[in-house]
Amino acid sequence: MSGPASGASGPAIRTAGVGKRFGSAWALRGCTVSVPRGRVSALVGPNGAGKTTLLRLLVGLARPTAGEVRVFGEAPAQTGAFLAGVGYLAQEAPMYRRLSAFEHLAVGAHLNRVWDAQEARERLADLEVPLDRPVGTLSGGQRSQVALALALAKRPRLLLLDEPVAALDPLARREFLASLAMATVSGDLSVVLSSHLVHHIEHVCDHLILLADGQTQISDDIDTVLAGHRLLVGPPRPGAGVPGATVIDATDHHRQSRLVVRLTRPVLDPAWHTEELSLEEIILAYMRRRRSAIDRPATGIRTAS
Amino acid sequence: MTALVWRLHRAQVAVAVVLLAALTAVLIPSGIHMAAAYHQALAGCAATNRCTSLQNTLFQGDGLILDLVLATLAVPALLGMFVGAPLVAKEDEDGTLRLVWTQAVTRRAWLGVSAGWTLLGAAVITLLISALVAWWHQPEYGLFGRLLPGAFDIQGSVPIGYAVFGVALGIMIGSWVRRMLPAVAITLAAFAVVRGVVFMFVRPHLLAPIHLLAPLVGAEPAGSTTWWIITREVVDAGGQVTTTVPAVCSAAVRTDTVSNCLAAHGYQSAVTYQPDSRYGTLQGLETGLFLALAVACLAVAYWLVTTRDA
Repeated sequence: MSGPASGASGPAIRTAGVGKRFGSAWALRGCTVSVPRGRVSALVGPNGAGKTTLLRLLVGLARPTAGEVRVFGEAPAQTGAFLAGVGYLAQEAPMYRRLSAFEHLAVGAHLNRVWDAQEARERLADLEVPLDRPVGTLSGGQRSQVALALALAKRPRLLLLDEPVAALDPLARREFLASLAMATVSGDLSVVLSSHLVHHIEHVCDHLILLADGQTQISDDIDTVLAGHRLLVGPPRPGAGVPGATVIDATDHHRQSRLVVRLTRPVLDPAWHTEELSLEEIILAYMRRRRSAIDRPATGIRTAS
Repeated sequence: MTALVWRLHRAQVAVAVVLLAALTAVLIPSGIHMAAAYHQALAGCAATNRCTSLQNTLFQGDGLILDLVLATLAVPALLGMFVGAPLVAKEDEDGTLRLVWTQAVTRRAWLGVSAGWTLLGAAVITLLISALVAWWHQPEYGLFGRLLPGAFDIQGSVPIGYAVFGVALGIMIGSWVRRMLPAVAITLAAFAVVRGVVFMFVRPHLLAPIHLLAPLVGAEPAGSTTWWIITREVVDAGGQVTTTVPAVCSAAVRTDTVSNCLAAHGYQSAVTYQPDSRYGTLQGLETGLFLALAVACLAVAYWLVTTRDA
């Protein structure tokens, strides 16, 4: 499965039916995703959807209970060669609180084969992050910038960021994402960025993976996702489907139905008024669908209500 | 890796150096004073041929220092608790394992270098303390030997074995429970249990002890003050251990008259002991035992670290 072809030109990440169980509870189940190279992918899902678990499987911190994981065609392994290719920024950006950014960079040089401390120092100096103070005394925004600089200094091919902006204030979040955008300009770096709120990271990402209930709901380019979903507003027609569209979520009022649909071809029925949707609205529709599917397993998805 | 280990442990090294310097500053003058007092007293009592009260003159005013020396017994446990147990558990709790285990260094190398340096550090610290204690204690050995628990356990090579075992045990327990405080507590408890079991049930059997039948009354056998006496029982003329005074001697009331009576009826003292000359062998065997236990702990820690999720 890890032949030279998939290693050289295949997707950056490919998982097939991946599951991870902790005790008797599945944190992730039947997860199949493919992440293209050179893209910045948003890994979005509600809390507990398995985002953190998936990222930990990808960097080899955890092993899957079921299914297979391939990163550039290889199974994640505790080898220098694999670890050198993947940069990982864990949730809450853990670092040695008593060591300074400078010391982290000095240590990183010993722990990695490739290490660009110069660029990291310059980037942090531009952001006026104190290099000589213990990172435990820095602000959350400054700490996350140091953590990002550390993850980038090893010049990985794949960068995995677990909720990097969740704890940041809006200004720090903007600065963090600007730094990330700068790092991805060259286009060689594949990035997966998880967040439970898509609008935080929407403008730096060009690919979307929506994980809900441990399952992949969407894995597509954001432009394609936006073009492929519409809101249909029309008179209530209980029981009727929409030809050429899959209903993701439906809201029925007395006078009208509002359907979020995935289009397979344009909807020509003049009874429907068509509106464009924001990425967040599309994602919320998928999350609601998942919830209603859980609430009413007997009737399933509310496509025909 | 070494660069990281040094940065994470330099504060502990500084604390160890300061404490070691303080201990040295207290023990060196005291040791010199004690050696002088010993030689003086020895010369004095040799002249009068009565050296029985030597131990009383030797330690006058040194009670606190003696306590301090005995307190070094705790050093291996402290190293296990505060160097071994946090090695994995603290990094797990702080999340930094997820930082360091995703650099291009394998977990095997991470554990090897981290454990290697901390074990070496613990061995060096206990070696220095053990050497200092042995030097300080020297005058006393001629009187009491080196096999009694207060002496055997704090000098020679066994403290190093204990310390290496303590740190390895701490690393293993920290890798297993993954939280700092429980790891420290369990390390202390497990260390105390293992030390206690070895002291009570293993050490007496490391070498087959010598059995000796000695007269109940009269002079003790030569050199017996330096023996580690494991058991001392009274046996009757037939060689059977007895704890009751037979009817023939029940008329005697004072201890010495009872003993004289018993001796006259063929009773003897059965002594099971290790002589001081076996000190080196016993030290080597017990050190080896603890080093073997340390290797076993490290093997489990290695398995835990390389196979678990982080």
